Amino acid sequence: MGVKIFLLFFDVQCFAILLAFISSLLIFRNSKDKKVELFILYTSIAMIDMVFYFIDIHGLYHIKNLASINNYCMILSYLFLSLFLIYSMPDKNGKKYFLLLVFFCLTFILESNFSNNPRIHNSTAFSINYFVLLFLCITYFYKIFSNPSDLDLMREPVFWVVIGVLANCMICLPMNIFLVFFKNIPKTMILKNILNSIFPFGYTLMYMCFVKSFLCSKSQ
Amino acid sequence: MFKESINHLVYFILFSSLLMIVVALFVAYVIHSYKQKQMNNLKNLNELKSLHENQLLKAQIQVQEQTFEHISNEIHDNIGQKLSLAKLHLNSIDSIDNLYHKELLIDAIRIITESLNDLRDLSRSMSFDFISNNGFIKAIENDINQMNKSGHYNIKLTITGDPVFLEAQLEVVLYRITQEVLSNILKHADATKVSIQLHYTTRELNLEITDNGCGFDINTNEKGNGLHNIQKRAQSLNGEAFITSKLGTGTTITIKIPIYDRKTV
Repeated sequence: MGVKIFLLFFDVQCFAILLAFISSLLIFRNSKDKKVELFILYTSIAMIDMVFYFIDIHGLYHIKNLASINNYCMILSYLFLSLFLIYSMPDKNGKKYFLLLVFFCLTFILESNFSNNPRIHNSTAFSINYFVLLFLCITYFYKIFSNPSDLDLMREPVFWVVIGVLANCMICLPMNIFLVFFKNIPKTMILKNILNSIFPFGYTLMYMCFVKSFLCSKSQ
Repeated sequence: MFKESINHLVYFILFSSLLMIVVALFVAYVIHSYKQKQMNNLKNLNELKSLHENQLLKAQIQVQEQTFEHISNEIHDNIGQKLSLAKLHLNSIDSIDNLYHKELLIDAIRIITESLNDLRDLSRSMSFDFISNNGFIKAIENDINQMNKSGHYNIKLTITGDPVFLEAQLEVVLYRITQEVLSNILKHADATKVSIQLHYTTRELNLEITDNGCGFDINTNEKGNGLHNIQKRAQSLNGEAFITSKLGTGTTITIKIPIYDRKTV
């Protein structure tokens, strides 16, 4: 039953990624916000990751290096999202410090990936990734609130991207921390599946926010 | 086992729904707070703009008053003096035998006397000191007398309540507003009767100027410079100006100015 729940949520996540990929294709060269146009890179990486996972999880073909593909995709996503958030900040003050933080944390993520077994899901690397993204999202909110302009948030593509990333971080970060600190405690199969189902849920939410962001970008 | 799995599924769905609600609430809260912040910001910006406009207007009024004062002094000290001297010279001529020339001389003296009186009135109406020393009522009465003298207009001033001396700057601005209104009536209204009502209450001064002129359609007519000036000047005194007008029935301009500092006349 637990597996079924996981598969259900995983399929929903795949659908959300596909939707986001199609939306990003539609807005490519058709959006006023050039930064959002670049999301085609992000959704393409997500699509590649998703296709490998889909093939493996549904038992179509067993992929040996699935976790390492996932880990490298995570690094690329982390780089893209963090740079996107930094360059989308309404106030460019402190940009170089944020860039420093991102690249400093990148070394930790890389170190964590290479020092551990790359064939397993690296919760520590993911946690650092989420921490940095969470920090950037909070900074974005702080900046838009400290200097409000005539921005219509409901129609602001960057706002929806930030909401999506924030929601994903809020959902997935506690799960990753849980997996890091309690990796040695025995878990029943069903608990494992339930825990794993949280991630697709967080990602689904994030990709749906991205779709909304692309739609906003198009309507602009 | 199956029941347990169902329970897990229910818990998971509940948990997901709860998270979705939390996210939705968070988004709603952020958007609401941001809009609130935007509104506050806009309000502050408008206040600042209004303050700036007020300061600009006050500076404008000050410059205008200085110019008026200068012209008033020029009229009084220069042109007035010269005309007085001319009158003195003309008065000293006494050996004219020709009756026609004598009549011309008397006429010239009369014209100079009238001109001197007109210039004195003009000088007073322009002088900040005259208005601030004698008060806004006296200055208006002065103007009304002058206009009534022409015979084309019947202007009445009614004062109710307890008249008070206001701050000099305030009195001068009020007087300038009245001058602007009267000037507009003379230029555009084609009126014969004008009523000026001054009503003093404990908190405010109501000035109402009504004419029986041609009036205008407020909805279609764009506010001219004069009407705009009246409203701006009233705002600079923390007051308000209301204009009501109808084609063919005349115009009423009401100005309400708050009174903070009372000194009984």
